[in-house]
Amino acid sequence: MSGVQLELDQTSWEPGEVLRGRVIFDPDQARAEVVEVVICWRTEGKGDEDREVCGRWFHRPGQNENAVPFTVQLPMLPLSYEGVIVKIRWYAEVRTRQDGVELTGLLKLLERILPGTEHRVAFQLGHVRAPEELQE
Amino acid sequence: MQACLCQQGTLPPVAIRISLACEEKAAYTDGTVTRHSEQVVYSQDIWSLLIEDRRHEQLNELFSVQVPPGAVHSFASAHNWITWKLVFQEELLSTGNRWSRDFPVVVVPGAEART
Repeated sequence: MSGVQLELDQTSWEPGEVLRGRVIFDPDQARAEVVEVVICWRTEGKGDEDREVCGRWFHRPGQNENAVPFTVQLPMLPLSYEGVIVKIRWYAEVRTRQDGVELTGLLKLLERILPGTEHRVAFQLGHVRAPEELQE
Repeated sequence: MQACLCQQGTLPPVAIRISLACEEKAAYTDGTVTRHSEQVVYSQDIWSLLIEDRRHEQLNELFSVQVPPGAVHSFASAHNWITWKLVFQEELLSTGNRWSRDFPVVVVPGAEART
């Protein structure tokens, strides 16, 4: 089980709003030196996946911290969309890192392929209707 | 939003239809090749014109284009696209021959509020 979890204050946000949530640490596990929250969108559906990171938040957890609030400014685009062969979904992801480790070369590539996300929470950005709702 | 249909020259009797369409496109890897898939997910006729007699003057017609409220905006990434377009279709009444031409439209969030 992961030693760090994410909670968001709400599941739906407006474009440009400040996303708020909490990083929750498992008290039984050793603290990572750096916690990183990443806000990103991914495409899902028939095409190959596209992904873009739109916001980051870093924190050095203390030994007695059980939960830390975080905020990230959300972008205006793209809005969440449940299409037929293209879907755009937003996620808040948390991962931990050991401080002072500079990633170079092969490690950077490995980190890109396997970013080591420990917990991921989906949320909705904006209010776009699905195609079948437009035809009604 | 308003659009203008202009066509020069003499027009034979034709039926013209214009629709607004949203298309999703995806590129995906299939073994060692990249394939493309397209699907029109929304299409609505927005304007039509029937010309029953040969017309000698230039065609200049204004019509309004309304993006449905809450519709998705245009989107492009490396392997996935959401595109909007005006589809112009013309049918020659004498022979039934048809042809069409697409005109891309960029839809931004909140576009329905500006129509």
